[in-house]
Amino acid sequence: MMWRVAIRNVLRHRLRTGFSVAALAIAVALLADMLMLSTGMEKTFNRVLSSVGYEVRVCPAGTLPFGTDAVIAESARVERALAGDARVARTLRVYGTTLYADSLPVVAMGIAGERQSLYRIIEGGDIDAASPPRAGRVPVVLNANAAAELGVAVGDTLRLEATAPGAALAFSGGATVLVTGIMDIDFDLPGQRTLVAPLAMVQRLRPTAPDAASFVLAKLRTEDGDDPLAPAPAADQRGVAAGIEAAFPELSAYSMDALMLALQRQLAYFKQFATILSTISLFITFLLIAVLLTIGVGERRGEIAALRSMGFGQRSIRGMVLAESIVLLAMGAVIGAGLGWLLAGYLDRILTQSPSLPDGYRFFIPEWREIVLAVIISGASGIAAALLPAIQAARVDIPRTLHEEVV
Amino acid sequence: MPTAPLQAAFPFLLTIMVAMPAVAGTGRVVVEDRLATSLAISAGDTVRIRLTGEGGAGMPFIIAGTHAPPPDPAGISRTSRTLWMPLPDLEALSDRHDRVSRFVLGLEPGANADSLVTALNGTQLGFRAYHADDVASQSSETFVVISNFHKAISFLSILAGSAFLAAIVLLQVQELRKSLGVLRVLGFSRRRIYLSVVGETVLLANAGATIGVGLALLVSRGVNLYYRRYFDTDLVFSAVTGTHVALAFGIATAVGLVVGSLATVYLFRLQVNEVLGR
Amino acid sequence: MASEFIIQAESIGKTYRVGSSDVEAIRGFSLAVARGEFVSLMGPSGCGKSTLLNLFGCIDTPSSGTLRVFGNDASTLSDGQRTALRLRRIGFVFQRFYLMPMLTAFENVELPMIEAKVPRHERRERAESLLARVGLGHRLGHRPHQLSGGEMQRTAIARALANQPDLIIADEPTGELDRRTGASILALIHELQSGGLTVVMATHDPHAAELGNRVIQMETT
Repeated sequence: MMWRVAIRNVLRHRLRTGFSVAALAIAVALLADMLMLSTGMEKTFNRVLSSVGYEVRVCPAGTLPFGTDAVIAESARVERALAGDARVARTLRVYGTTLYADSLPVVAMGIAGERQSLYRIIEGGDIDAASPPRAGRVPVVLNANAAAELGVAVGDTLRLEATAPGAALAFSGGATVLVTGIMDIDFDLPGQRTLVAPLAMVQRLRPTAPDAASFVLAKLRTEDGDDPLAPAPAADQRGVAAGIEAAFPELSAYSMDALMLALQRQLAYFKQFATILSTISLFITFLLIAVLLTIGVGERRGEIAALRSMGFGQRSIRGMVLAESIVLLAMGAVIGAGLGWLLAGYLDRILTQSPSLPDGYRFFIPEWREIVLAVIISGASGIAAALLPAIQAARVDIPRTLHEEVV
Repeated sequence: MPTAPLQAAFPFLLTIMVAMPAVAGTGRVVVEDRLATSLAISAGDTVRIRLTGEGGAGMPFIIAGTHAPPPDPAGISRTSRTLWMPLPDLEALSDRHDRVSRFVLGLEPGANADSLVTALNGTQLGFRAYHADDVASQSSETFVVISNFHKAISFLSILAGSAFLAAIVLLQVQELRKSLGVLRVLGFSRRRIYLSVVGETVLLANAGATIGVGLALLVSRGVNLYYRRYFDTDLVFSAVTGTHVALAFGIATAVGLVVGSLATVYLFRLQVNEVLGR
Repeated sequence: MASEFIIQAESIGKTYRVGSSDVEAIRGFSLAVARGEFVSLMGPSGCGKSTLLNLFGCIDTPSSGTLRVFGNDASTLSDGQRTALRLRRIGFVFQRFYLMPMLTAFENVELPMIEAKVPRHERRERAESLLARVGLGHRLGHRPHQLSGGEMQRTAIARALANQPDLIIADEPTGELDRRTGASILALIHELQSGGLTVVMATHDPHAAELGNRVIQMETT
């Protein structure tokens, strides 16, 4: 009966209940979305970083992969040091720079290493699978953007240069390369043209330090030797990274968790924003329930006094008011859950328009865990807000209230 | 053609090693003020600089002075600092000669930037020229996206606040329906009651806006304090301007008018007898 | 002999604190109400009728004197004990009915029985029977706003009888009703009292007062 009374009390005034539930639903939805935001980028980073299968990244000291133009000199030494560690299964050296393919600037990555998992071949073959190679033609793979803009397909050739067209030395140092495959990589920015070539070729076209590489990747051995992407134990990752840093003080080596920690700086803004807005959402929920119930109890003092005079105990009256808050919260939560899910997609579409964000990155990853957590937290906030009005209702001065109601 | 001086830069990541005794004939560098503070170096000190990641002994330089570059939102998450040195010194340090990543041109007063950009781009010298405004616009795209995100959140907050206000006002109207009904019986016009209810709602909304603006000023201050410390920068992350304040009160008034009107329409739909509780 | 008296009041007084001053609502009042009696309290507004009913009904406690209700010293009972008395042994009928507007007549009568943990089957039977007894067997599913004033008060009376009380406290039960409807309500109350219930009623209406065994005329202090 208490629930029946609570539900009917709430539905007594449909218009105001409608508005209250709408406000609650938006608060719950915002809270759910902020919980998603606080974890979304991190999950995306984790997913993308894990998807390439390398657990240790070695870069010039104080830098992150793709973060600066700094290079590791004599990268082969670093690679040998990694290969000498029994925990390391394979390595990949990567040298990123800008080259010109048929006069169009492309982000070029020179790689050296076996069984790379940095990118996926979606058409044709990889640069180490060019068989049989055409004489004098170095194999390269392109991303779909580059292939489309250059108007080339698998089997076509390109002119690769170090300098822009029109420069005085335009025709010295370049090479004609063979497109052996089209690839897809998770780190491409929208519209980016990417080309992957053998490391030696890129080093020749863009000489900087001897045997330069932007970073070196290492895949560690796991018990599940068949899965190239299965992560190695965190302790092994940290051990390998520490060993490299000890041997090469001018370098920084990151395990997966160390890399995530280093990336926190980029996530800091959104995490704090999410915290602030979550707090505000909870506050709105608290305020709304507190105000609604306080005024609601106030307008029903006569009823409450009558119930008390009939023999309803203080506990029953408190229970009735709390039940009312739960009914309101439940209605708000159901609508808020759905709204939060929809809003997550909408807000994500806004943020992922950022030109500096690779395709496939997400700020909001809708998951029921966050929705349920938002409902629970909002519910707790609302019930806490209902406590005072419930206590006040139970303590209503019966004779005075009955007298005032008559007057 | 303009004749203003050219500045060139070729970005390298450099590592500054510990300060060392002065060496005669060394070059001079200007370092970012925050870098100087973190390394506890100052004008007159000698430091050894080398290319990051490449080992080697590097070269000595004297700190000529420090400089505080204007805060740059695009560089907010960078972990490296900046130093400035003459290009020949950098070439000697890096052993890479006659290479720059960009030219930055300062024009004579009255010079036409657009025509210069067109002329330069027509030279086919292997580079591209951009108007400074275009570069600024492109590099601001990320912040436009973030701004749009904030606007979306603001819209939702206003929606929630409006619904909240509507619920409260309807509560009040229902509580006062008997009093208001008596006023109608006594001859108070609908217009009078409408103005009363709407006036109270607008007042309530603006009271909320006043507290909200106060809260925003406090939170804004807190946000700036926190992020400035976190990112070690002088950037202004949050600013409550006169426009924002005017917008807050404008929206509050508009919402108050709409909600108050809604509440009185609801009230007037009740029959007098119902209002009097019979 | 003492157990024959439902209410025993000896020189009871009640003082309320209003702002910074004390207001004496009742002073030195004594009364004994025997089981099965119908006592009417009459007097001008402000003479303390409702205050007395609140004391007899264990809604409030006296500031002075001794009040025994069902043999219990009301001043020494806890809030929980007084609540339990009101639930199981006392039924209230108010001037303003105080029905729950969101419940039907049937559910309003059921309400006190639910609080008293009467089994479902039994309380449903009793609610139907009580409403039929007050002439509302055809209005079980109606909500208060669908009932007339007299029907609402009949529902309130049925509710007051829900837990089979020994005592009915009625505070101006006809105050909101027209004369004819009021008369029918009084007749109902009288009929219930004739069946063995003890009734204490406050009223302005001299005709109503005449229905009782005893009329207590009260004056302002």
